Amino acid sequence: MKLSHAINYVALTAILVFVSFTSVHAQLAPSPQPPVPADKASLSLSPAVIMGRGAFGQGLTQTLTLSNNTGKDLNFDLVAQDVVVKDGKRIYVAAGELPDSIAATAVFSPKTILIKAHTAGSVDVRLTLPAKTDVRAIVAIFQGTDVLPTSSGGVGMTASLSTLITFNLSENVKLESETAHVTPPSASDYMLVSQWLDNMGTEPVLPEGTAAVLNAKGSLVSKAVFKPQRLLPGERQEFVAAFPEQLPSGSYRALCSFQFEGKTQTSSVDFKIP
Amino acid sequence: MRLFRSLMVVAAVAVAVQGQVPLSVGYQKRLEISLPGATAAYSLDSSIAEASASNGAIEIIGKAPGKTNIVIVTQSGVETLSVIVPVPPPMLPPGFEPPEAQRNGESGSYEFRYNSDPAQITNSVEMRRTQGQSFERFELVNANLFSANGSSSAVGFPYLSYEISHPNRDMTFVDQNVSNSPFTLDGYMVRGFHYRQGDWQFHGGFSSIATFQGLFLATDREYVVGGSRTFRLDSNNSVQGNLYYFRNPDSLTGVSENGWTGTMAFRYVNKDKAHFLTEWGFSRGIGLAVNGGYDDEKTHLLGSFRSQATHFASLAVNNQHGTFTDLTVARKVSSRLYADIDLNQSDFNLPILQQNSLVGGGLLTFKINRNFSLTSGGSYSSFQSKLPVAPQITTVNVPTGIDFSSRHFGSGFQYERTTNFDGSGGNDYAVNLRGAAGEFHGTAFFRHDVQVPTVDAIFALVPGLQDALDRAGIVAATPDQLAELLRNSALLATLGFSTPFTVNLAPSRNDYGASLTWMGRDSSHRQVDLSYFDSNTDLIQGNFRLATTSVSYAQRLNAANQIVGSAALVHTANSGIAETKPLFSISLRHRFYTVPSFILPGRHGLIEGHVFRDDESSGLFGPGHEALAGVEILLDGERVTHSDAHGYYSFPHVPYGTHRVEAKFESSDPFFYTTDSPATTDINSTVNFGINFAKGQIFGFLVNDAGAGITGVSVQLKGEKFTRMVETGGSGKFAFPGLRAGTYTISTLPESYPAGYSLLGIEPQQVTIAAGKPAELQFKVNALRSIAGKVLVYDKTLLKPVPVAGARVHVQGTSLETTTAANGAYLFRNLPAGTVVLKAEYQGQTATRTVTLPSDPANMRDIDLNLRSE
Repeated sequence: MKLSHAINYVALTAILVFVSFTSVHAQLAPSPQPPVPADKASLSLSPAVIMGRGAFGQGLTQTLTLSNNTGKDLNFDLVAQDVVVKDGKRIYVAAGELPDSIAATAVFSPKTILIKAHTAGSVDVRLTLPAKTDVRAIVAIFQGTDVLPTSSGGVGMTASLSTLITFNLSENVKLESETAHVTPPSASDYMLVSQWLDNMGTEPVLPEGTAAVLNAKGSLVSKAVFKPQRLLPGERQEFVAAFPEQLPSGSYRALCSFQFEGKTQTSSVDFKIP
Repeated sequence: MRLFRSLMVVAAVAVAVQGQVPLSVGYQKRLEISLPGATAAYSLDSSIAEASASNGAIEIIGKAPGKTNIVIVTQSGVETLSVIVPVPPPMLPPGFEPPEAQRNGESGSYEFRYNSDPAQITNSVEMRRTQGQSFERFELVNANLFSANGSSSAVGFPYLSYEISHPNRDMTFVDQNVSNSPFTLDGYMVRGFHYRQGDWQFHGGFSSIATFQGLFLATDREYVVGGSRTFRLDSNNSVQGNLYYFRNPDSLTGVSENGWTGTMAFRYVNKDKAHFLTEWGFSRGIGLAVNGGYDDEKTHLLGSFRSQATHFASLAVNNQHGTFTDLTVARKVSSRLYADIDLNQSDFNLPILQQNSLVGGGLLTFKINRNFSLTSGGSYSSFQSKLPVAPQITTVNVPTGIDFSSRHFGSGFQYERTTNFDGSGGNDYAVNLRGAAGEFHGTAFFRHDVQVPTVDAIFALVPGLQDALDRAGIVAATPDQLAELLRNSALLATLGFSTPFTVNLAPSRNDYGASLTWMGRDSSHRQVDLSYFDSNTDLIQGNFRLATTSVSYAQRLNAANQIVGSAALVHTANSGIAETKPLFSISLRHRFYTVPSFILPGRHGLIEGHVFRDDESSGLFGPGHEALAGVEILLDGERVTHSDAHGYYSFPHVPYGTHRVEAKFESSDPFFYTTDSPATTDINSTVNFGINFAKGQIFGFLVNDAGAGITGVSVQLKGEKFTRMVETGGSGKFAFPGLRAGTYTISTLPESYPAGYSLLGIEPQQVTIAAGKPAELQFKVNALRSIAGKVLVYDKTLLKPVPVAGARVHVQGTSLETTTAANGAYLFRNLPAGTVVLKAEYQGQTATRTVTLPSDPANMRDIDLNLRSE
């Protein structure tokens, strides 16, 4: 299986297409709906992420709701793709092209949907986890089939939105952290504490973390939260926490603590503020 | 108290810091803990809990229900403390039932049982309907009853009960097995009316049935009426006041007195870990009863004590007057040492039975390693009977043994020194073997005892009861088993069904036996048991031998029915008088998943549907779908049916409420449900189950020699019965999804290729795919790329470049080389993509030119080379 050949649907993940609908309103007349300000026209999909937890062979049914806050009726096809990590990057593989594909078991009801302007439409997706699989994530995609003219009247775009569904199927959760790094504050930027985390287990992880700064006496002088980022198996991300405080000169220690799936992990780095 | 709390918190922190148990912090509560050396603390999720530290004092505040971790910085490093903020208990209005407690369902069973000796047929029916925390139950037992004069009634109803129960109120008509307290009703079946409202309860009626070894024995009526009130002190402790009136028949005068009994009982219950009861009774004298139990990972303790005055008013049959104590303690002293202590004391003080027995002992087991263990200990037993008169038997036993146990085999040897207080004694020994292999497991044993306490001759009036008592007396091989038999059978003597038991010393006894069990591993749970037991006791006068050979068979006929049958041959020889008697029994058990409305009225409906093959994953059942027959369908995890040839199934007479329906499809090929399974539904609804088999897929890429995809080419797939055609996409990709397992031939159609490709040697490829698996392949064709031009030299006479014939032209870095024709032309074919350098040479003059060939086909012309002198 040459995953490098798989289509990279970067554009499909969590795309929220904001377009100007000035010209759209002109085409849709007469419209019973009040005109939508161009800067408020949007499409949104809920939930954006689903974290499933279960066992091999289990089924999962989830309702996905797409809100069409544009002035145009939109048609969507529903498709699913497996998400795997190759060379540290997420790639999206068409259903059935991976052995024991989860996306291949996706049953959408309905399979296509028309969502009228200023309304929302829901679709149920049913998934069956194979008896064994290395796949731990799929995307359920609302694939737009209508071309949306741009405000400039230029090349039209289609809008596609997707929900990421991850599955935790075992206890094999393992994160490896690299040495934390501190970027001292400057006149134009905050002090940053950063740390790379590698997901070395077989399950997706959503680490929550806090960076704490201790002074030479060991007392807490400041803390900041790392922005949560999801790590699929094999994925690697840098977690960064920004400290707006202006610390006085001296020696400090930064602690980076993460909690995930009932486990905790803390690393530290010493630094000085000149 | 405060110091104690602090110590508990420190202990909890110590455990929690080790990552074993989360520390519980109340919702919107503040918890202060001490951890010496702590300089800082912070929470990893401030929305759940917040933490801070100062001078070794840590403060944690529960902010929202959930679980997080607190990082505590100490002078020696960093500790992590797991913290849980529990969900606060819901504030429910009175009478409101929390959703998780709401369960609905109906169940029931019917059992038929026949015993050959004494001949008895028993029919038992139980029906129950549950709605949330409320239920209704109907129970009926029909059997012929035996009387003390040896007669047997043809039809009897030992048990008939209709119970309506709600969380705060119960009402039972006719029979109820009442367990209220030791001095009032303690496991008695009372026929009458029973009512509980909150902390009040009332029981009134009579008792007229006793049981022994499965036999129903008719007794004269004993009347009872009374009530009680419970006062709850807190969640663990309560006090109960009881007032009951008892009236016994004339036949039991002297066994127990008529009259009023008032008692006060204190109860402590700590979930499954500990329970304790003490009751003071006041009637025609005073009584005291204590019982309780305690369980944790190392200790199991169960004990009871009851003593009441001779004229204490009570029911007569099951409430034997006297003093009785039971204690069982099992404790894991260490990882290798186990201790067991037992104490059993009885002091009967009845008109026809005045007996004392005291049996106590301790046993230590030391595990040498995984397989071997040693046992040793000691026991004391004393049996004394004043009425009927029998000599006192007092015995001390000192057992020692070794045991081997492995996964498939085990054996043990035990030696015991027996010393009787009359000066007699001897050496006892026993050996046992046990083994298991596959579906079989068996045991065998031999035991030799001398000067052994044994039940003396028994005489029973009821046919069959004599055999039951003989067997029970022989099986009671140890002093504590004997003491228990004496206590359990005392009521037989009280009621006149048998003569009172006495104990005597038998000079020697040899027991041996073996058993073999086969247990099938299929869904029918078939089981066959074979056993043989032989006991030969030398009495002071004569000899008694009992030998039984038995076989039993049990099988689950289907999800609702089970059959158990057994046959035995019992041979007895008492001082030369031998008798052999066959015994049979059979029982049939049927489970109900609904309750007939005429028994428990209620609303019912139908749940039905189809199981179908859904190749399109539509999730919707229609006329064209292939039916899947024989699929097991489960209703609420219990009631079972199967889809018929049309894929149809139904569950009629389903009780009102929400139900769970699940299809249990089985196949060696990977499949998935296209509809919910399990599904939740109400009655009178349709639930269809769609099943799609995971399809294989063949996909691949059509690329040229430079790896670029070729678009718009037709790709054909040929299976055994069909042909499909697709076109390659933007990257040359093609895919044939939805294929069943098999071998397919894939080919590209030459006529669909764009110009510029070599169509020679494009061969079809064969691909075999397994069920549900993908396969990838690649077609590679050469793009035609060529460079053509002329080699020219500047003619100073003609003042223009002229073609040079015979010039040598080659592609640098390759072996490609040619010579120009008469018109100076050259041509290179089948060139790879990329940059090439052409060099022309002629009579000391050279020319070079760099040319870039694209990945697509290219026919580059007029690439002329102008020779110059070097």
